[in-house]
Amino acid sequence: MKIAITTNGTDLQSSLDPRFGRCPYFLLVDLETLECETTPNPGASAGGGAGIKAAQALTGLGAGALITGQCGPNAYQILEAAGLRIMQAPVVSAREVIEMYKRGDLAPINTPGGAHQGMQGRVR
Amino acid sequence: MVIAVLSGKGGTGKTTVAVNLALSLKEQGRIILVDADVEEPNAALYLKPDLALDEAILVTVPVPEIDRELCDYCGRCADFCQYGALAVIAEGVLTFQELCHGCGGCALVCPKKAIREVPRQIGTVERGGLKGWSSGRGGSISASPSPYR
Repeated sequence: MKIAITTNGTDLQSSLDPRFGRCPYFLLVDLETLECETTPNPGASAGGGAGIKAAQALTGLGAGALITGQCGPNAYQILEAAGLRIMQAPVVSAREVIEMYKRGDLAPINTPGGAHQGMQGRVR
Repeated sequence: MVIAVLSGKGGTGKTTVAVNLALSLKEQGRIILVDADVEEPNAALYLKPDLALDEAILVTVPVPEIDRELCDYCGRCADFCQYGALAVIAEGVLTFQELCHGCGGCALVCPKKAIREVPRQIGTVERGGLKGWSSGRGGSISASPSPYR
């Protein structure tokens, strides 16, 4: 199974970026082999509707679950419609996130956070 | 004659000036005060017009409605939209009407003609008369935010 993590970089050393809509990359990690694929997040450069663009891109990657810090209501609606499991992890390396996932230490995200939280609550 | 009262900054006295201008001029002839504040129109709080609520005009913007029978989830509408108002995933199409800017582009690019524009209410325009204004009726027209937001 492959897990998607919102990250600042393109390998397992990269740290998790807690902002789903505005993270620079989605890191797709194969749980067995630990092979990674990186996809740039189209929401990172969007003027508005970042969460929507990010969620739409993510659902096409074939991930079995998503691990991030928080996501807003619009992104959450799309991820929920796609039936994707979402879990929360702290800002640690992607490698540590995978370890935490395997140990069952990650809490699920069952409700969306506030809108625009990745922009400190501001729209601009 | 039309006098516009405006400011680039809130709290500078637009309502104060406009309301007092209207009151000062009401003996001069028919006065119409248009409160064009789309967020918090408050001239009506001072002048207390008799608002004929059944005459309220609905203000709407066009937003997309998808015909699920015709849609084949190609995603062209979502790719076109600059505002993220549409998302197409394997499970279906989601619309985010509050993000839509009403450009109609999604309907134009849909190869299956599966999108039509329908009105979404974003506000109302109310108008009413003011009693006791000596030369004929004064009217006050104001825009107000909609409970449908």
